[in-house]
Amino acid sequence: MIYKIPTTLKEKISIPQDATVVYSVNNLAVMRYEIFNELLSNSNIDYTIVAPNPTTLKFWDSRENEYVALDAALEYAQERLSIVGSALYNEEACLDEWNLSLSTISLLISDSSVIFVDEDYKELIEYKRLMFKDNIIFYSDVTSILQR
Amino acid sequence: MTVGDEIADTLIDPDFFKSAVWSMDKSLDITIPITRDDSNRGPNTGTGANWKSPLRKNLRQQRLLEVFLSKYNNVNEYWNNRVGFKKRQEQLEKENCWPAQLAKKINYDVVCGGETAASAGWMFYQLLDNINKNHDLYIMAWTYPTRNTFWNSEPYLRYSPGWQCAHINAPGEQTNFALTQLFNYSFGIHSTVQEYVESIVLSAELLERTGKNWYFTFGEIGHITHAIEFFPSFVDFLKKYEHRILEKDLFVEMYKVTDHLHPKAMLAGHPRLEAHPIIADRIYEKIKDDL
Repeated sequence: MIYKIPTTLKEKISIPQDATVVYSVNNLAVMRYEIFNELLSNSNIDYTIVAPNPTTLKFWDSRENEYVALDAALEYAQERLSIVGSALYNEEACLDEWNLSLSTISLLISDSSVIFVDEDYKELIEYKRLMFKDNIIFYSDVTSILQR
Repeated sequence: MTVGDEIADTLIDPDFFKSAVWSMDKSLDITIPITRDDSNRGPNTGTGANWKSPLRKNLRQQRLLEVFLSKYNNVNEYWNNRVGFKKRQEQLEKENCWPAQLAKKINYDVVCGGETAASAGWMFYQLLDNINKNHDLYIMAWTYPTRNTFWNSEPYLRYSPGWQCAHINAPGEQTNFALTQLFNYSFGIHSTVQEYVESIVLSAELLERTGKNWYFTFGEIGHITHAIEFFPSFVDFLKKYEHRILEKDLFVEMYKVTDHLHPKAMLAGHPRLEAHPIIADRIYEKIKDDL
């Protein structure tokens, strides 16, 4: 079992001591990319995933050679990426990428895997348009969710 | 799926290729000078991917100018005609491309989701939008791994705001400063190949795990070998789904069956329209027993 936790929840969330934990960039499309990499070598991994909030875009930073979560409201974007961020970042784009990634992950992970999503974002999931499996669990208390 | 500039040329003038511009020196077709974009890469495969023919391209431009001057008195008239012409071109492409012709042969309705200069990531998102529609057969024709997908908030040419594609060699096509900045910061062969392989692998797994009947084609074998350089495990993926891969060198095969010029002297990087029924026949033979 691999626990994929957004970096922003690192200090807030409690996880089992013996778990394999991967703290991931705070963007679901980046998690999707990590899962793709793992699928290439092993297609039967169980996951417990905590979905990041749908407020960022996946962005390739060619200077750092890594994916980042582009959020125009954060300090990072206010520096050298501010022009890009202000032009490309918008709620519609973030939500669409988040939904597409959530659908992909929901369909690909093993039957015993789950995705935890903050219940504040329950209404944002595009059930009519996209396909999902019954493996999405909504939570309200992020600090204790993984200890249940 | 696109059939490139060939239809465009013949729509402007059905006798486009019969022009004196083309026939003024037939030896050009075989003695055309070739320049390489990147001298460090392997030997030319004759696909047109890494090769340009400036002289032939100039001839085409000359012919287009000749047609333009004979038909239009002013730029506005030309531009208005051009907009209508693009729509007609897209319609013709979708009616005549090999997926449409294959669908006719197997008596299916075709839903052709192709788009000019699409990227792998864009195709993957098209699949996600279509995977719950339960089509009888999904065929994804993977294209060049040198394109990326980005979200553009502003209407851009014929595109409405949303996911769009861009080619790694043509960031100058972008229309505003912000997008130029985007490409300065975010574009590179690493990002495009990553998007290419991720899209292919995730698409295959999605189609497989949702129980679809599906197949892939790849544009050129070079695309695959290049992807393997970045992702060695991609080899295992290709072996796993070998029975789903109909063509690994589709563009080259299409050039072979139709190119009446020297194979290195491609006008553009897209196969001629005449290739499409031949390819439709060929793919039909490969899948007919599975349907």
